[in-house]
Amino acid sequence: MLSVQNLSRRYGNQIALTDVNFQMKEGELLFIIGHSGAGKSTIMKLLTLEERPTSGDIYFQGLPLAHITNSEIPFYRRHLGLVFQGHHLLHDRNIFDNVALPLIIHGYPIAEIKRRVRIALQHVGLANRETAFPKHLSGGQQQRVGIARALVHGPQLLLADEPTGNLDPELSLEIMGLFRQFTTMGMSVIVTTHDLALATKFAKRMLHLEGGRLINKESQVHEFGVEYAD
Amino acid sequence: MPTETMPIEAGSMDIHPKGDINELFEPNSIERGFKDPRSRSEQFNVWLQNHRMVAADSWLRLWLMPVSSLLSIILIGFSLALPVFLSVLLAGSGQLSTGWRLGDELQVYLDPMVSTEEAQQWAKSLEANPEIESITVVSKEEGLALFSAESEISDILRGLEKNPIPVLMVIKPKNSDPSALVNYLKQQSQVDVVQADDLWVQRLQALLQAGERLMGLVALSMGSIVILVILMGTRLSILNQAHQVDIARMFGATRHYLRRPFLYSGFWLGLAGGCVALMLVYLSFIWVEAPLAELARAYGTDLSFTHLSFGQVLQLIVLSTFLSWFGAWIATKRYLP
Repeated sequence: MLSVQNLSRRYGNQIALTDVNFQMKEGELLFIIGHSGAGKSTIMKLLTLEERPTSGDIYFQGLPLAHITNSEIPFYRRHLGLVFQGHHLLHDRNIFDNVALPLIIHGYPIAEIKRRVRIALQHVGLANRETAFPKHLSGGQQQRVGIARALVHGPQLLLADEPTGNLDPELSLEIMGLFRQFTTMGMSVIVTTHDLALATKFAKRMLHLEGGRLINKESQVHEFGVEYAD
Repeated sequence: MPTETMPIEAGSMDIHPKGDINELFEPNSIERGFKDPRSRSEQFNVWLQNHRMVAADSWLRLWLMPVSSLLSIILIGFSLALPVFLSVLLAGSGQLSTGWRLGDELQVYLDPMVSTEEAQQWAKSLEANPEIESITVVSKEEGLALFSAESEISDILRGLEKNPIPVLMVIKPKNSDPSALVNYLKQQSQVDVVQADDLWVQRLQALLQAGERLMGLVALSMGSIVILVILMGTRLSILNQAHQVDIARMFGATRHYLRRPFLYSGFWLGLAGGCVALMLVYLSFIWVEAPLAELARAYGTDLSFTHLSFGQVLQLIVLSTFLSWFGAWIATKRYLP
């Protein structure tokens, strides 16, 4: 469902990403591991088309993104679900409105919006907090609202950029557990993190970035083969 | 596609969904590429629904920021009320000058050497002129008597050996515009001075013409002020809401979708500003109508202001709404990422 081929990104003379290749199947959970400045956020920006690659291409469901026009980008993004490190919630809107945002943007009917938001909130354990505002929630709860918002429109690919960066270890496990559960429904999930220990707990597959390159030169995909604890 | 279910290892929250989360996931077709997969009619319904929601939401948001909204509305109101008030005032003054012209007369003072008899003979010949309706000759003696009765220097006048008052011919022209006749009379050797009663009316008309141009300039300036005020206000809103705009963009909001709330805010501010302008115009007329009417009566004429017609009211509201919307449109075009 996703194929990244020879992806590179430069900012002037500075190389942010060089010759990155990987593929992803439906329902796969992929971790991209790396230190700060390794190129994790650059990959995310290229996947969301916030930025265009200097060279290489990304294929989403077999369609190349290199020549996608600016007016097509919003319709590509409607196939994505995004989770951010800083939650990025709308603080002047209640939880229901925050989660409903993608559905409103995509033009779902009102009744369908209500139905979907309730299912998504139930799934992240916040069914009774619809009318609360983000400032009334803890960091973990805010991240769960962010996750509900990311999955409410049933995206094919969920991108989570350092989703546990601001959370304590226990909450981080909960959040990763949710991501893993989404893959059982056919959603592909890419999580970037610098927390190798956390990723190892959940990952079947990890990519290790260093200085903008994938390490493990042979396949450029590092298969840890870590099985789930269950 | 994996179908296995995996329990969550850690955490206290209730992650067991009560609704069926699988219902959220539908096969999302990208057969048409990255375009809206819906039919035209579905797209129209979505567009309409979004307009309804954004219109209501942006209206509510104005109420959530009452001070800044009210300031913008009042500014728009005052900016538009001024040119509208001036234009109605000018229209009323135009009626005043037109009404006055209907009864005008020309006072023709003859050369002091022309005798009353000569003047009467000339008056008879002048009556054949198609531009003249009637002529009244005021003799030197009658003139002296009238002048003595109304003047404080009557004693001095009586003491003079020779009557210095010239013969006066009061001519009532047939046309409302007697300028051709005035020119003709001025060229005659018997005539010393031709004085038109409508001299002040001509001055007034010249003033009104200048006033109309000035009013156009004021209207243009005030319209520009409305656009600028909304433009700057919208720019500020865009900067304040950059975070929200970014989030919406990342979830697939189109450029049109992102612009809509700002355009609706401009629309509502303009609409409300137009209503305030209308109210201010009416209040201004209530305030000045009585003293102006009294002034007009002092000049022997009636002055009645024609209040704005329904069409003019509509024009004002539409113009105000358009200017404000246009200011927001420029801001979104220029400053929305």
